[in-house]
Amino acid sequence: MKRHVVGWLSIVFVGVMLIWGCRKPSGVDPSDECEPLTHIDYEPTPKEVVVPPNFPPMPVPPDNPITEEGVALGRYLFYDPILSSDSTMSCASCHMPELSFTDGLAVSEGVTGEQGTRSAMSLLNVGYFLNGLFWDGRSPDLEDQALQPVENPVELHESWPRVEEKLRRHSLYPELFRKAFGIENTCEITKELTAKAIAQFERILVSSGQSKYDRRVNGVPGVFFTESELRGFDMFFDISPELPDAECGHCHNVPFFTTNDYFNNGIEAVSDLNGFPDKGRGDVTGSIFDNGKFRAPTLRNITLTAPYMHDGRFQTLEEVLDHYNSGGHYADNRDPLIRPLSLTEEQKQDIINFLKTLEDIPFTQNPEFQNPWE
Amino acid sequence: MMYKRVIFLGVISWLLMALSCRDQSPEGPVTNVDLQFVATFGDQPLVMYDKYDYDDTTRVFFERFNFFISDVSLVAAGSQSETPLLEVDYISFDEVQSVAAAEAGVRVQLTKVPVGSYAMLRIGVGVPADLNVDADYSPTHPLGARKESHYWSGWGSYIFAKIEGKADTNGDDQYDDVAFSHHLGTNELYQNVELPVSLELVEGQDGVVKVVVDVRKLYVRADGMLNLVENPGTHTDSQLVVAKSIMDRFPFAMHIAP
Repeated sequence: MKRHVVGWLSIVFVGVMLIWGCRKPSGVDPSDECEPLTHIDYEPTPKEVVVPPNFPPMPVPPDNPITEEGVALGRYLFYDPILSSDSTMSCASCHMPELSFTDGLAVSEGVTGEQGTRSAMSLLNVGYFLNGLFWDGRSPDLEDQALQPVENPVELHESWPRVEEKLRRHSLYPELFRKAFGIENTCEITKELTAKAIAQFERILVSSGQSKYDRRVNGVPGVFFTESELRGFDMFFDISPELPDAECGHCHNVPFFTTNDYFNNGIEAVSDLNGFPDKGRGDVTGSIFDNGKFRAPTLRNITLTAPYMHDGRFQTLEEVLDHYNSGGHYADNRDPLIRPLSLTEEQKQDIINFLKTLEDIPFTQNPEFQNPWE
Repeated sequence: MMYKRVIFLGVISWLLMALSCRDQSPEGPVTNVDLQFVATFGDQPLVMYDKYDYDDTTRVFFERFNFFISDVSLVAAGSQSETPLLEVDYISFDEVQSVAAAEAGVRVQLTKVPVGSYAMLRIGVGVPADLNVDADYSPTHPLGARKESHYWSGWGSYIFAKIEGKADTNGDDQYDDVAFSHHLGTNELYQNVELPVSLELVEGQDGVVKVVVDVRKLYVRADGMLNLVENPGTHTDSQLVVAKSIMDRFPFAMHIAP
């Protein structure tokens, strides 16, 4: 009898311990904290991304269609320092519209003041970049990319669980998430939906079509290149046999003025392929032959995105042209098209003058892209 | 009586369903065929950045080798009956960086190929004129996915093939003497290649056709190898002759491996 009692007590004890061990750490059922949102209408409005005539349609992933409500939410989030640990920085801190969504720094600084190792890339036409994002292409798409800066210690230095909690308790965001994604309660606000909303906003960051280059190629009456711009255009795309081939268009092709591929453009002097201080693409693929390769950035709005290269080493376009004219430093994986060009000073200036025709101020001033909190 | 009608209607319904679900191919049973493209340099597998003897004085390595294929079809044995199988696709050896990867090659699957005997594989190298236009192909279309890297507006054409690399011409084992970049395109460079095959396709069993492309043969000329020092690039119209001389060699550089 005594043994039976001990046996039953043991079973009960083990059961209690199992239940105790499985309970939620907080001791509070989170469902108690979930605020219902179903009283708010969910009627998302599909949003068409307006693109210039010389652009293809914007590719949109089927699991994140662009809606007015999603873009609105993404825009609030993009400009909100709620994503950072000390509420001082937002996505826009490093991606300012007036600088074509860059920050004007050689390398970006995070909330702690610590510097990163790379320059903030322009977000102009970023929705079209399907061959990896960041300088090294480590993110496959915008939905993945938008997740990363939050927890990067040299960027926003926050944790996603804390961000989710802040968004759930916010006075505005639960309603915006409901309208964008149809969530039923605040607990359904997640980092994935946050990233989706930011991605939707980023997909509308498309050229205005009002740069001089676009107006010229789209046949706007009365818009012509100057002689210098035309010579620059011809050298950029190697069109005129009378002018040298500046080899630019191979990596910066139309319409986005990038091929979204990865290149070693010869800016680093190394004794071998292991010598690159920043291995770039090589750290992602693991291939030594990708060391020192970085994504070719768009040259649209290049006049607004100094300093240049992945580490911001060149302050001016003149310095950039000087580098390419020199052919840069040899490495086995330096792109074969990076070679001494023998351009004269006038020819370099012609190319710079052509690059200036890619300036798109209306894009930077588009009201749809500005800070909604101001 | 009612019972028989129900059974009759049931049988008819089942037959209609069965007929509607079967393969619609009028040719009967079909299967898949893997086109396995393998690149070599002479008799060696082509591995990016591996060094090869180009001629008596020059060694080379390659960094890119890619091309478009199009209008792929199989011709039945014993007749001229041709089955179109693929409109256009992109073949890239750019990421082939090991012998194992080179031997595995790049595969393209041809689907719904009627079973039977085939004697000829027809492949276009390049982009056919009707597709070789500045169109808004979707990002998932082979011509859309490679538009920024391969559509050259100066030519009004896709670059049909890219071959890039470096050469050591003075024997110092430094490959900084020549960087060559052969970008080949425009409609007149399009190549129709016919490759004899002996292919028996049976139902339920995928076929494999191994297509070997010997890059060395693209550079063979009557008087030796193409001079890379004098012809490092093929970008302008004035270099079209050199570009054409390389593209014209594709039919001779391709064969079916047993």
